[in-house]
Amino acid sequence: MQSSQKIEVRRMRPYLGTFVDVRVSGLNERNAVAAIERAFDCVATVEEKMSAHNPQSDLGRLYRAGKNEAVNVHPWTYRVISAAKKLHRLSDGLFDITVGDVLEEGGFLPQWRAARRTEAAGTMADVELLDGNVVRLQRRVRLDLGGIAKGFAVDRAVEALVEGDAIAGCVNAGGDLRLFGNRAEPLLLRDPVNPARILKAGEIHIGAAATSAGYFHRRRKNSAIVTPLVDGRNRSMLNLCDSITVLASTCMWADGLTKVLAIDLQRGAVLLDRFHAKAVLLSGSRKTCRLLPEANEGIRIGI
Amino acid sequence: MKLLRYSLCVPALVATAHATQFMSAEQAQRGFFPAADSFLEKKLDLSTDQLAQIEARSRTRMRLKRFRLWEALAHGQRVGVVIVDEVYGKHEFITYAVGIDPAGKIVGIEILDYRESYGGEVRNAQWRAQFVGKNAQDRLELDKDIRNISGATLSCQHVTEGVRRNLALFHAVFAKN
Repeated sequence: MQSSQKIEVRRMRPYLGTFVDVRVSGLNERNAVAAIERAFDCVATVEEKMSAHNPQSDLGRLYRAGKNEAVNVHPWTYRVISAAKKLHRLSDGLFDITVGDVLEEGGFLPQWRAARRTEAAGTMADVELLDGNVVRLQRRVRLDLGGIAKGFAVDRAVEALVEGDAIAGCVNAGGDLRLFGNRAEPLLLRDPVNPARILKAGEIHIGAAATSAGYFHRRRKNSAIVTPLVDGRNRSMLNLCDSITVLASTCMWADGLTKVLAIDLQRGAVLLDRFHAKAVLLSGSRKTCRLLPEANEGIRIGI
Repeated sequence: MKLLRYSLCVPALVATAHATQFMSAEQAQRGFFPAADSFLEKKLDLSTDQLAQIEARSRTRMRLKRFRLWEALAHGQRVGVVIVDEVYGKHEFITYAVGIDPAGKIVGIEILDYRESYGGEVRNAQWRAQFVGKNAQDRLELDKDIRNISGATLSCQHVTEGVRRNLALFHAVFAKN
């Protein structure tokens, strides 16, 4: 047995609608497997509590609760909703987690609504955060944490690896990734026009990267093509044609910022600065790559 | 401490195919059932009745009649079953293992091999075969069942389907024993 030898251990499991790849080094096999197990437990908790597909999740419980009923949620759900409120405020309402009903109508989320809605849709102002991990909705709101919870899950998983005394590691949930230990990881992006083609756009040593692109999630709604990206200002679904990658210190902010940039590039570019984040934009139609905030002009690339 | 360190370059096509082996089937078996002292390989030829039962229970199509699985044994007693299966997505080829305890409960799912395909491979017959017999209703069915946060990639949906099929197979073969 090589149980005392320090090796790299890598595992992958299906969670959050994608494959979560966890890698750890600097531990013996037994400790590495135990740390990875705890990392997956974190991801499983996020899936259980924050899935907009699962009626038993905190989001399902909030949806079924009556108006102004106080609902005790998992501390992590509370944290993610708080962060979403912050991003909503900073983006002037563009990033919005109260658009679950729009996604339901578009066929991106399972149907929870029994009859046709008669009351007006709730907004972020209807989501109240009270002390002690209690959330209260002033109107019925279908929350969707799709724009931020996956990144949060990656951050918690990385924390579990660090607490397990790993020297280096990486958690990658279908392109939302975070790494530590100063070991270079190639930043690989899909060509938004032909997603079978993989492009290398650089390397990350420490930090997080998240990508939003529409290539796997397109759907026809009436006569328009849409992706599960909703502009919170007018609650309309957009067709995301480009690929947007944000590099930031945490995966949650990287994940959330890709959505802001996808909806409004200029508004998003202002926010990048505030989060000390960078972005790589691949435009499928124009065949250009743009880096934000550094360059204003797109670099033509041979994709 | 610096929290973000990176370098960016002009995006360029990566030529090498991407394939990762995460675990061997043996590692997955031991991980699912650490109390087992042996794993007995079994090759199953499913009867038409069993196939129909599995398809009805899992709401999926059976592509194969032959299955390979391992019984986890501790002191001669069955403590679980491990099934190794493959799925094909739009850009990925995935081998995974599922561990099921004697009560029919999933104890774990592990990806064993993950391979990215590049263009040509997706034209392969087996990949196309997965769409035979699928209709719009199947797709709606899938969306209802997949419990995720953002959209699911096709291959991840296929793993979910596959796990459901393997559970149905377990019930068809072992439940009455």
